[in-house]
Amino acid sequence: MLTAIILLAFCGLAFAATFAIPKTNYDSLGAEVWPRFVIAAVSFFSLIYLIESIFDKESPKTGAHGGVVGFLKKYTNAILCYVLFGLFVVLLPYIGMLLSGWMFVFLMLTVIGKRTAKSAFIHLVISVTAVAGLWTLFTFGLQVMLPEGVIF
Amino acid sequence: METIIDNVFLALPVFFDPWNILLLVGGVFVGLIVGAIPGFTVTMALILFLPFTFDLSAASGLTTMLGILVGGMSGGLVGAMLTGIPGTPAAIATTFDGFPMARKGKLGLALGLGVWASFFGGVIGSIILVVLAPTISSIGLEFGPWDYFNLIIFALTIAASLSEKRLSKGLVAAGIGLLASTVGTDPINAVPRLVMGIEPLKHGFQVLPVMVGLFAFAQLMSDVENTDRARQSIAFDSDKTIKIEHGAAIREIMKQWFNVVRSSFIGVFVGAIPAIGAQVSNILAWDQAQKSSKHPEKFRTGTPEGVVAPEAANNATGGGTLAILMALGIPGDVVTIVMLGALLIHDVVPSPSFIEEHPEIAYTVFLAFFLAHFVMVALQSVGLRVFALVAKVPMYIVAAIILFCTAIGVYIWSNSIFDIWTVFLFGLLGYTMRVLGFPVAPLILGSVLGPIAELNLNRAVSTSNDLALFITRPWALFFLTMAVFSALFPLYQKWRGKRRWTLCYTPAMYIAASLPLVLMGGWFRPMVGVLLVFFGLRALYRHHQSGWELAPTPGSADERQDVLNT
Repeated sequence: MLTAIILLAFCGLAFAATFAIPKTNYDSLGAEVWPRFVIAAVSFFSLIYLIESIFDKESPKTGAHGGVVGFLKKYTNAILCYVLFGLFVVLLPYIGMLLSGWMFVFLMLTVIGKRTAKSAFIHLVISVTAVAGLWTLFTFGLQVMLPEGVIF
Repeated sequence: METIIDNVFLALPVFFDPWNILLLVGGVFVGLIVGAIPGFTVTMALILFLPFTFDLSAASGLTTMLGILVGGMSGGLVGAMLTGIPGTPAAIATTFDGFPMARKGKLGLALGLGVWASFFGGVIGSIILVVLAPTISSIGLEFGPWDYFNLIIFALTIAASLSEKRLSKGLVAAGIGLLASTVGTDPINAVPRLVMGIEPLKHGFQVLPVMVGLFAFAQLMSDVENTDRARQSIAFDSDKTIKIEHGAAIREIMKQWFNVVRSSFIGVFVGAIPAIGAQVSNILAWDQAQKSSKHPEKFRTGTPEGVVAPEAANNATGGGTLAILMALGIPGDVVTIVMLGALLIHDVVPSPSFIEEHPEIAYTVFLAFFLAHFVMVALQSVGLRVFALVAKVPMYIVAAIILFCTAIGVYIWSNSIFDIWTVFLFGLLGYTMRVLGFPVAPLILGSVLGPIAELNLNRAVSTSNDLALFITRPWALFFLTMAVFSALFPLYQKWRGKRRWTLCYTPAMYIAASLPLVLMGGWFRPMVGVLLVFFGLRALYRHHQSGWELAPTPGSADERQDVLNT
């Protein structure tokens, strides 16, 4: 039900944003018509979804994951991977594909894999080999320009 | 027929370039490996390798993609037989008899049956593709923008069929995809839309990073969500020595040639209908094989017929889906959605006139699909050995490296870091949708078809202010009718065998579809319309005679879900 409400709110915001679309005097169908048609359709389907959610006895209720803590615990790996990937893209223009890529792969392996000294060493070797290998293949083998940072 | 043969000879020198052959072989090999890994679908394989084909010519890039497609379809049977988990949804029914056969100690025979059934099914499918596609495209030349717009609405109701649990979720997802495609500069009026002051958004969300984010990124996050499962190797029992028994398999298939041909035709027919695809054709074919077998009780225990039927059907489905894709530009299932993206990225715009205007590219695609099956048979044994090595690697290591590869792939395609952010954003969206039970495929379908729908709507309105043409033109009415029934299909599937109204679904569809056919010119289509009315009324009469008795049907959505949950 919460999802349906969020969707309807999103549709409202999107519809409001269509008023910022400039009008032209040479079009047969204005640039805002199709987006508004689509938003109306999404709103309609979201409303149906909301009604179904209200009457659906089988759907999990809010808090079924055990609150915020339970939710975070269940999706820890995915959340951390997204944060790491986001960090990777933020750092990309500054430290380049090679360094940021290696950091991303190594940290992701460390987050999900076993946290022992031996595993850390294996993860280091894998991340360096894989990232450096792919970087070398594309840069020198395929002559593709990958982002360079300040350092590398 | 002469034109077809001429076009095949026109495409031969383009296709038989040594570089294209090498790419085809590489594509099939990659497809075999990735298709075999449970959780790594054909769709993902296509998306992951698509950016790396961007610098190739259209013919070379598409040849590679088709190799991956054929390899992936066939690779799914390995996972199905070794682990009981289909590598792709198209191999669901293969687990019904393939896995039991393997557990009985006949793994080599099971794999051989799967490989050769895939081969024959694919060859039959490609022959039908070559004949069917030009025929369909000549029909497509009759379409006006009203007909095309309604055809896309019909295709978008694929969304309904792809969302097994709840229709509204699939339609919401498709709508969000349509909305995402409007972000950027309006292609007709050249004004910015929904960019929120973000300069890079003026170029819109590109198809490739959206697909990579939604399919690959989100899928990988699902794979590593559970730490224990992520730390395990990809496939169990990966120490097994695997050897395919080709001779025994071919002898067995020759005995069942009718099963192969019937299953192939089921595959092509299902593939030609938008909204279905190989994940349904393999189950339908298995079901038909069981019903027409002299020993139906042997199904699900490891009978060869139960392996041959789904594998022939799923490879033949490619012929049907490609025919519709190349002739009309409409994707028939999730895999061809990605293929459409691949075509667009290579500046190939499938349409009714495409085959006529660019026969060398169109027939290169057909030839690649045909010959990829020969390469698949040759490489399957090698692919199995490599799969056995790859299968020992824990999932989380594979996931991390592939995520890095997706970033490289998307970057080299556009030289834009913004597209990597698009992968991140749509990856987050895709994963959230999975957690909340929304299907992802309708969203990508909406984002790919949205611009085409808007273009045709614009053309229709520019040509005439009469909106009734969207209902009164025969083809427009036909597609609108099919769209209504397609949108109701998930409900029909859910209640089939449980509610009496489902007995009226198919007859009502026949009768409703007959009206626009009768309105069309000539004699053939009105005659087909009259026949549909006859079959519809006959079915209703038979149900009436039997007292509207319900009968449960195998291969339901729940059964498929049960197999995937095993």
